[in-house]
Amino acid sequence: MKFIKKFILYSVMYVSVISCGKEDDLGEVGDIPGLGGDTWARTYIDTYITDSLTKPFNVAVKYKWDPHEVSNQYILRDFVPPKEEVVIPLLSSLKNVWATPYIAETDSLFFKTYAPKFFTLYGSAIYNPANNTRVLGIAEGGKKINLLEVNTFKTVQMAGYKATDSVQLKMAFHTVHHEAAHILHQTVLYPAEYRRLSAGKYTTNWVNDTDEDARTDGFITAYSKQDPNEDFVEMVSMLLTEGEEGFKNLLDSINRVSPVGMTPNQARSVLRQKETIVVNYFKTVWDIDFYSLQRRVRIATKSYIYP
Amino acid sequence: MKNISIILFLVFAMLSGCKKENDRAFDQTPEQRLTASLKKYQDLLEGASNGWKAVVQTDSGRGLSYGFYFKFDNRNRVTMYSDFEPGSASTPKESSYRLKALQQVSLLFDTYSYIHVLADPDPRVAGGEVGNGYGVDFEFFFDGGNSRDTINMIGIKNGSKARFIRATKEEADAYNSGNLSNSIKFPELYNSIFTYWKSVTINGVNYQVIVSSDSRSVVINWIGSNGQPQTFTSSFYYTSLGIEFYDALINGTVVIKGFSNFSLNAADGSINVIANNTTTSLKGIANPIYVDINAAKRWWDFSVAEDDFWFSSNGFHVNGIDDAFGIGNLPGFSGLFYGANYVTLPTGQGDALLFSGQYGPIMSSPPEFTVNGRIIIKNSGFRYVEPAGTPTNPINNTRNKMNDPVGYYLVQTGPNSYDMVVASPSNATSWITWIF
Repeated sequence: MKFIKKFILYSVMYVSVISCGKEDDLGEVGDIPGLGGDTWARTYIDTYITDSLTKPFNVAVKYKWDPHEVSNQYILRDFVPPKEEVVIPLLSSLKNVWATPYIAETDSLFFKTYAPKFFTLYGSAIYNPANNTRVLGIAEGGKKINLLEVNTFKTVQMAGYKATDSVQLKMAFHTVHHEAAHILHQTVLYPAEYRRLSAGKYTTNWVNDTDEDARTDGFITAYSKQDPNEDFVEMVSMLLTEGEEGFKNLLDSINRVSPVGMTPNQARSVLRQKETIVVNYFKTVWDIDFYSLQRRVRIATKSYIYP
Repeated sequence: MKNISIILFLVFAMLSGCKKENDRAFDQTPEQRLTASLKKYQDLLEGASNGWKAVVQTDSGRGLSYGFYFKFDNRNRVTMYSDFEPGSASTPKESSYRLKALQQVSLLFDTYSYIHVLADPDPRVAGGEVGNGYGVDFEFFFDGGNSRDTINMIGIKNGSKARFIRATKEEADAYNSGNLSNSIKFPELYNSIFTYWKSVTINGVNYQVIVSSDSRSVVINWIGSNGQPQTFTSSFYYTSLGIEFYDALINGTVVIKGFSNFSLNAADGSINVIANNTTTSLKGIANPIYVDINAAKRWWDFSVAEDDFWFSSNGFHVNGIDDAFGIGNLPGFSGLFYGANYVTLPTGQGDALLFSGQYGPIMSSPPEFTVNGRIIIKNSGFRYVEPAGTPTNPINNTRNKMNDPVGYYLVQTGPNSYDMVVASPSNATSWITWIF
């Protein structure tokens, strides 16, 4: 009985809203500011993004300040938006070192399916003074990549380029390859034997190591020591950005026994085995000739470093 | 019976609900009001045809003030100058902005420009603190108390206080001629007057003026009409016409907002300025107009209470020369430290004057405090021995200066900063700045 009364109550209310509401203009609902996203007067940068990335690849890029695009753990840190003048050089080079080679090895459907769909750019890194680290890239859910510290991005084609600018440049390329590879292994995991190659050596204390230290233990970079997933994508990214020869040079540079007693030859062997797994993974899972992809990426990368 | 009463009530509610239709707290929906608010601020910002001179004060209004100039257009573009360094003071930079309805209507500088330089967490960019920069915001919400000519805003992230003041044509033209880069040279001109004490005379009143360019603060003292000393403190920033105080000094009909149109008077070495809309000159004076006689003891007690050191980055300033004794050239120099009541000696307590926090002379503790506000520091004869091979001239010259028998006046220039000035008319060209 009570239930019915309540029911009556609701229907009365409903009717009364309708009857009173007819005098209001409900059209205002469509005018909520910001509903449908931010808007601003479009510039050549917006046109470039639409024509070069959004239309062909369904990739969106946000370069105007929105701190809420980074994951919550970083939201309270201080960081800054990008300089407008770096946006197009950065995006066009990323397209050439990343989208174009992948599409050449597969097809645009593969790229549209597995490429991150949303880039956000930030001018500075996100710093964690507590452990002296800074975040240069964040990938979320196989969809979004935050690229940080883009303000110092400079290619050889840009005025005032110095050889040392290649460090930052390769870092940006590295970040995209790194985050894009995360999406691949999050879709289909690499073989379990990869995890066993460096079992027992993964540690969050990698922040105390240099890349050279890490290589003596069979890791391509210090960050690889974080966990097997990071190790895997760091391998992919280093192989692609450094190229076959650069990778060989890194292995040759290992010249001392590691703190845990690994000899240079053992370290090289571990890294070569990791490389083999990466190459096989790309072939069997994605039907991609990794060495061919590597050559294409490296040629494109070099074009931004050497005049 | 009960059922009937409920039904009656419902009917009543329904009717009154209809009747109250035009009796809402606001005439318009939240969306309409928000849209109107966005438009109001958009019109306000872009409506200033000469742009806005602006100041952003960090740390919720307790930190340093930085001056900017903004000219907004109706296509989300803003052109700005900043007083941070000569380049940003003379070369305009265009970037984007937008007004956005966050929790309140907010102004976002949404691509990188001069204001972000002061927020950049990378110390290589502008030397700010790692991970934090200088604590300047670039997202602001509109605060209360706004008028056609003044907009107050609060930084969303760090709570900076921002104030936009509608610029005049004269000011705008001066910005666009690069004059802000002249204004930021004010400290050079100020330091060309060697005596620490300086004054301007306005409407017959002598104002003692102390400008600290590092902390962008100003202390002004004068003797009020009641014969009592008056103190005014404010942070300052630079505009296209001069320096401007964050708060104005008001003394009766005299309103000093800053010093503008300054230039060197080559004849007598004073600085011509406009203050309170009249031309006057800032000149060196041998004797202070006013000394805070408790400042010396307060300075010393603070170090004791905090059990920590006062710090000076480059030691004594003498006759217009920073670091006159070259202590910055000492090997591995990291600063000069003064720790009150720091050490126990065979002869009693000692104050330590430590170079790089490691070596240097020990002074007798406590020092002598005179009734007229001087501190007189005497050497105890003990010292922390410097590493072998350390040049001793910078150490000994600094020690001898500290032991000036006349003693020192202390001038508090900020919550945690003091200037220590030799308390004799002939040597008032020597001082040292201590910060905590």
